[in-house]
Amino acid sequence: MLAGLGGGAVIASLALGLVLTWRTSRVVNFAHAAMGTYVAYAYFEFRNTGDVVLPVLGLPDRVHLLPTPTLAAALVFALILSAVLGLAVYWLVFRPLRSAHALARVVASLGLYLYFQEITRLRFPTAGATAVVRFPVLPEDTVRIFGTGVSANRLILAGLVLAVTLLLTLVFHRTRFGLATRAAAVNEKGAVLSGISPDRVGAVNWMVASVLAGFAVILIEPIAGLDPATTSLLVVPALAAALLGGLVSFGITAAAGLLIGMVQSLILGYAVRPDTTWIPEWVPVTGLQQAVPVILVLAALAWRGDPLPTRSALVEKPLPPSPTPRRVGLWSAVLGGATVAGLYTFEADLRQALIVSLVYTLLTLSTVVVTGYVGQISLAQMAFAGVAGFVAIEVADNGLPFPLAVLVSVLVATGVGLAVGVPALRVRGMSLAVATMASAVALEQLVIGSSALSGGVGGRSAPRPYLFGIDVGISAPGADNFRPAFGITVLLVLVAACAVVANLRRNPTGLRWLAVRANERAAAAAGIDVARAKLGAFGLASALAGLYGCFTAYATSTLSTTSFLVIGGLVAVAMTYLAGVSSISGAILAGLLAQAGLITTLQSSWGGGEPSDYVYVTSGLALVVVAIVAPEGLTGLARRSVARLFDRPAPEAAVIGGEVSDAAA
Amino acid sequence: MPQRDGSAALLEVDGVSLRYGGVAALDDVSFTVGHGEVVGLIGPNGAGKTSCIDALTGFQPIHSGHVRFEGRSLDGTSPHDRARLGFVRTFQSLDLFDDLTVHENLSVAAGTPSWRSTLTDALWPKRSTHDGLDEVVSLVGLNGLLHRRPAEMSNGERHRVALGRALVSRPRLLLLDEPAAGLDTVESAELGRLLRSLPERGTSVLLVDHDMALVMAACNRIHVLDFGRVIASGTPAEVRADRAVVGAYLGTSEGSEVGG
Ligand SMILES: Nc1ncnc2c1ncn2[C@@H]1O[C@H](COP(=O)(O)OP(=O)(O)O)[C@@H](O)[C@H]1O
Ligand SMILES: [Mg+2]
Repeated sequence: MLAGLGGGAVIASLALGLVLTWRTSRVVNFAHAAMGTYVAYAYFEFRNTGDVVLPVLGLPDRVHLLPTPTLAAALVFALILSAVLGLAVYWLVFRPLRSAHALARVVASLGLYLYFQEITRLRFPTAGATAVVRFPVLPEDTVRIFGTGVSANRLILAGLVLAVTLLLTLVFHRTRFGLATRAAAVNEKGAVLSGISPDRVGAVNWMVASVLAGFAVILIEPIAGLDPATTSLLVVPALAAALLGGLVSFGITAAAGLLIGMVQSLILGYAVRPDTTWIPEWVPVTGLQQAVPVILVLAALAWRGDPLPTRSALVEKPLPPSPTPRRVGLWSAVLGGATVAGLYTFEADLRQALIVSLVYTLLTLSTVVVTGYVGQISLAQMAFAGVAGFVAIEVADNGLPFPLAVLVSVLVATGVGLAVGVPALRVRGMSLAVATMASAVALEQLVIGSSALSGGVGGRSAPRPYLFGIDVGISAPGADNFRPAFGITVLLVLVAACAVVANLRRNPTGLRWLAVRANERAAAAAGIDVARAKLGAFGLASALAGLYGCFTAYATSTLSTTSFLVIGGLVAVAMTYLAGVSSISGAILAGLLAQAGLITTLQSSWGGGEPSDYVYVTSGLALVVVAIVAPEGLTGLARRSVARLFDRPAPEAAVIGGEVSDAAA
Repeated sequence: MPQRDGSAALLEVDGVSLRYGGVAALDDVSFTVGHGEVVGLIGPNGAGKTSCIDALTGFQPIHSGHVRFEGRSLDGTSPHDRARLGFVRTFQSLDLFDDLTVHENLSVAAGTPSWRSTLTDALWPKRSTHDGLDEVVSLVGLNGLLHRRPAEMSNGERHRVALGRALVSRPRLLLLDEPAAGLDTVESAELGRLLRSLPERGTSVLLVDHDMALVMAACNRIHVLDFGRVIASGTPAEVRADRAVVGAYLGTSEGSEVGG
């Protein structure tokens, strides 16, 4: 139990930073732990080599600073680096996004998450727990308390966290600076009146938060090791602690963080004991350990209702306008025809890219429905896809023919989506993003990660699909790979899916969705059942994600859990936002932009493109930039430019919002 | 347990109390609105008028008391179900759907969805929806504005959209929260004429407003709120003569149009 004190202290320290940035900027910074991870790697690298590793694309990777840095020098370096990172992130990203829609801030923080996780991987190629030569900051000797041995470093960590908590509480409640922070969060003017510039308040708080994150990750290294992906995901238990503290109370947050760490270590200790037999073998133990904070997040959100009300003083900008789909038949014929032509004329690599894009569009379309049309930020679509993909293989292995296996797994995905959607009805905006990300982690850890479903390390393979006796598999023995028959099957499903989504959007159901998105209480006053509208969209979006999962299963020779990682889900949401989250054309563009999709493949085959290593980093960066400068996404930008070209005299909103003549029908 | 009783009032408010945290915003409020009436609810800023509308329409949970509509208890009925029963409200801040055109703002409030209609929506390219929109459009004077968006409209036009959206479902009772705020005298007089014509369409009205000329001219009866309590009720003439009302309200803030 006390062994968990160290992990708990780190979670608590991260959570304190989350509370701090939330109270300053109303941002749940998903990139919080990823930033700390970068700082920790840079710290160890500096301590070992005296090199400063720069996290900025385009600048030199590293600059040699000192021949043999001492511990103190390295710690000062980490302090400065993390403070500068915090300042840069505040000044360049979240300060400009102060009054943006919650989704823009979520997307920006997802972009930063991707960016920092990937830049860590790129800058420290041997990244991994063993690669870091450790110079422990804290003593490692064992102390005996109540008869059990505990490493001194864990006790010191816990003590440090309590001291920081006390300090933050005192500063926030006893000083003018604290008052200014609290005022700035509610009302910019209040902060100005208190005599301290809100920008300076924001900058200081972001620097403090970033330093807390950096040192937390540096100190967890001797306990848990480092890995760019898993350490960045420490943000999930930290979010659980921060939410238990209502994103306000430093004291409750720190206590919750410590407790989560101890419970996690208890579970691990209990589950691996040889006499623990009631836990079935297929339950992944680490999954169980990860699931605890997640279940806490969901419980905290459901219990508190919505702890994150939308900011009152600064009016939030709405989501980008959603144009009414027009000439759906024409577009389907043109794009569908081009796709068929491509499938029959392209070389194998481009056929593959085309199929990847087609399948991916099913996933991005699901984000358009639930987020673009109904305004509900769901980060769990990839997890629903993963469940569907493996369920499809499972039922197909049990003899169910291809179209029925797809149907069953899509129904299962819809059910899982609704199960996540029901508790999510109580929350909105940022907290919904948190809740759905927590659900995604839980599904990944407990369901998709279960070897019974996903076949463990070996993965699983779907049997060859036949439709009315015709082989529609992606490859055939002896024949060429990436067969057009499979591409056409996906294309038909995609066209049908787009048609259904377009119809719903144009009809009263879609209007009700947009009404809910625009103003929930006005929607309720207009007789709209807001919960039912949201659930309907959640269900449809989960079904679409399920289709993506199924066709990924049939398109992949051996399907493993890596096809459905949480991070991949974040990328998908982010790409959809980038392309244009509130229109079908945005979903299609996002599909074309998919990793290994048509555009990236064309780019690299023409030689001018970036090496694929940089895809995540650049898309992370692109996301942050788009969230700030073009919230309506690339398709929205294009639509507006075209409208300007033809010099339509209507104001901006009306032009982006679709044809003026539409509603006349 | 809908108990239909011919003699019952359209809306019965019985001992309703509402609290925000520990602070009482409504304290044992009781009144009725009869069929075909236009009833005024007035009071100084912060008296609890908006809170009263929130409580009656289910947007705020009430602490104690009962609300009955057409003889039927509304305990546990959600706001959207109350709206579908014909018990419709507007908002002081209008709360229009800014993404939607005027036509869409109105039509979204017109239909009642079912599983069948959702299915047809998914499979049919475009259904036409004309559920009595034309009549409401000319009633509130939105002809020619149907394809505009709220952001491009004047304050007076936006008020008409809010009113139109509330009227398309042909409600039995309409609760209006300061519908004349920011209107000029001509617009306000027009609104008064419109409100008086609503009972003939089968819509009774509970009107909250600061514009005393409008309230006095349009209402059959008036209830006066102060500090969350009903301090007077009666015809416009009776209320105007009531000393408590004069003290609490009319003497201090007549003609004030500052929303509370
Ligand atoms: N959401 C709320 N939380 C706390 N207090 C509120 C809230 N809404 C209104 N109040 C308070 O309740 C009282 C009545 O407000 P309100 O109903 O808006 O008055 P009116 O509409 O008559 O001006 C006021 O004192 C106001 O400050
Ligand atoms: Mg009011």
